[in-house]
Amino acid sequence: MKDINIEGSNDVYFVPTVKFETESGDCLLEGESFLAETVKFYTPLIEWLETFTVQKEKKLDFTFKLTYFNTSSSKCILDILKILKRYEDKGGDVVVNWHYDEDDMDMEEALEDYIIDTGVKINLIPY
Amino acid sequence: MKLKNHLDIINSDELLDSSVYFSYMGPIDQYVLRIITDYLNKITRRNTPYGKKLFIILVELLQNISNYSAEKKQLVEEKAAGVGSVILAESKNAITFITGNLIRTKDIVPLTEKCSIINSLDKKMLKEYKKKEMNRPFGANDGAHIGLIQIALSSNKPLKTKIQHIDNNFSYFSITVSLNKKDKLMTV
Repeated sequence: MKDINIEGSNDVYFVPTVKFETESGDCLLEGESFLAETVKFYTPLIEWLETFTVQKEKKLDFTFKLTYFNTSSSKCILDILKILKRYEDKGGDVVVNWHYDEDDMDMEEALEDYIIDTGVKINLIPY
Repeated sequence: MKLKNHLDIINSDELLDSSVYFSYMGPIDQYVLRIITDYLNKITRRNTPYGKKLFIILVELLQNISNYSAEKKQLVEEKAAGVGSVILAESKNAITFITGNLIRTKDIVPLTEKCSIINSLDKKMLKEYKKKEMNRPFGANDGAHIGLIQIALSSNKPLKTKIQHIDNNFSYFSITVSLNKKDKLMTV
């Protein structure tokens, strides 16, 4: 398994920064997500997580610092959270932290919905 | 799409007492989308929750045109971009977006049914509906519906839509979204 490193950009599209580390199990998704081909972008990330949660028996520490995502990205994020929940259900050690602007009520609401919809524990960290 | 369609939506009742910030008609590819949303961000302070809400709504409206307009134009991007109209206006109490694009006659019934469902649901039910749609695999449903649900959720209002007959094959579909102003938004 290789690490995933994607430098975020904000020119024509909003590409989030991605850092998935195989050795430490630390994962970061940061910035804004609004892409030309959302599924094409997220598929390798989802596959990486699926492989990690099958092959490794290590802690998965997932940090979200997404400040905006469009609806098609939100579907992919839901898929990521479902994988984390499955890993947790079969005894995997999972920590999910989501940093968000405390004034952003819409984001807070979206995150609470993710918690309800997936059953995964997300530590909401306002800043 | 004819210029008449565009002029008709500019001429709508919602805009009678409004000042128009921008008005665009043409293909909406990613570059155009970016220019329009950047402009919105400049005049509404996107770093505020309210500015962000406007941004979220505008992106979904523009993506609907780009992906689902019945009229396409091949431009710089490989994928053909949908053609449509967008207007951003400000009145004393509200910010209003109006968008419009051609739809095929066969899509009128499914689209109006979808809008009726969205408009019949309260916020909690809308969230449930969005969840149901999001849990479907990609390609199994029309992604535009999630965008429409999101617009209704973000604006906290029913979708205000209008369909005008053009000919046997096409009609013109427009959506108006108004958000009450909470403070002085426009900084220009």
